[in-house]
Amino acid sequence: MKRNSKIKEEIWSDFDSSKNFQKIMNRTKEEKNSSTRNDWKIMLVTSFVFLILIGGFFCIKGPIAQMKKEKHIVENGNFQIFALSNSEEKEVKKELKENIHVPLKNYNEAMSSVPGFPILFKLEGNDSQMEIIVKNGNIYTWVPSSGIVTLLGEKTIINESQTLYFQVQKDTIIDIIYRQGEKKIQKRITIYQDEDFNYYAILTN
Amino acid sequence: MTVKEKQKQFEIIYKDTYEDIIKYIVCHSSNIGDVNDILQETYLEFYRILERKNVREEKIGAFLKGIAKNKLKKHYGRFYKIRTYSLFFKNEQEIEWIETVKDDFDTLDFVINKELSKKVWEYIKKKKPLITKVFFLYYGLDLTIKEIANELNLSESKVKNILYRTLKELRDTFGKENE
Repeated sequence: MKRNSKIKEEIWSDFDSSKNFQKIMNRTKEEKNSSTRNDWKIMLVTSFVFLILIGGFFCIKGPIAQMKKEKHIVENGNFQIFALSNSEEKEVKKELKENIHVPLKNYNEAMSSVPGFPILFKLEGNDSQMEIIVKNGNIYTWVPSSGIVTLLGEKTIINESQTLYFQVQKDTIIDIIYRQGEKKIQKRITIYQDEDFNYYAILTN
Repeated sequence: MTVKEKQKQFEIIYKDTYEDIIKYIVCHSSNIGDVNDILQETYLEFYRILERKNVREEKIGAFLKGIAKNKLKKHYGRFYKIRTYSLFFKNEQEIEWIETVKDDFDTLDFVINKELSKKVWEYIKKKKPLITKVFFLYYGLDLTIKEIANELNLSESKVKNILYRTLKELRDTFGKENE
């Protein structure tokens, strides 16, 4: 039986093959464009994040380094301590650092014109002050040119860099109180002798 | 394969499979108005796959139906299976069963112009989905009663009854316009 062709036409007008095909093709183009745009967006965002990370790293690196430096300064204050060789011809400085045993040049009190182990206290800043208290020893000053030796006793206060000479016994302890404004730092230098009669100095808290 | 060659291949496959896929989607959708959207989604997905890899020609039909099935599920959600069956006919009493339907019942002869055919089709689209499907398969794809029964998993008598009842209704509604 022949079916109604007009109905058939009307039905298929709702499901037009060409129209659907065109819509599909349009959507594929839109997707491609959208994908390209998204690729660019992803690239930009990634680059931006990368730049922020790099920038952040360098921004932090500076302050971290500064913090480390400040920590060092805070720990040691604006000062340094050096053990000097008691040679009159050439001054050799060995910085005393925390928990490091520094050998001191052999010193024979009887045979040396130097009154004791020379230790240089190097102060920085205008308002720095260092109080030095020694146990089992004495503090001297010495002027090499004139040879004048001055006994300071077991305690002294210095306001600028100065070399002091320490007459030591078996275990001599030098307590240091550094002040700069409201800042106060305490350290201890222990001078001791080993079995071979070599002297060492060690800086501690 | 270049992009143009892929597009050409897609166009050929589209034309070859269009009717078959439309039939599949109509049979499995719960609203005739969704068919075009699901069809476009199906072929769009197929196009994306074709851009990435080659598809074996002998399996394209089944492959496309697989995509269509997924799109139908996605479109209708997890209740898709229930919708395609139980919600169409809540009560079989809704169909007025005709004991004997003559084989020459198919008479849409009163539909003689485009305007009327449009009205008839719009009327049919508002009917229950199963009626619309039967009508589409019968008049749109020229399937036999037996073929429609197979597609929709119905008995032949049921398909006949649906058609007969609908046509009677159409004649009563629109047949007078031509008088």
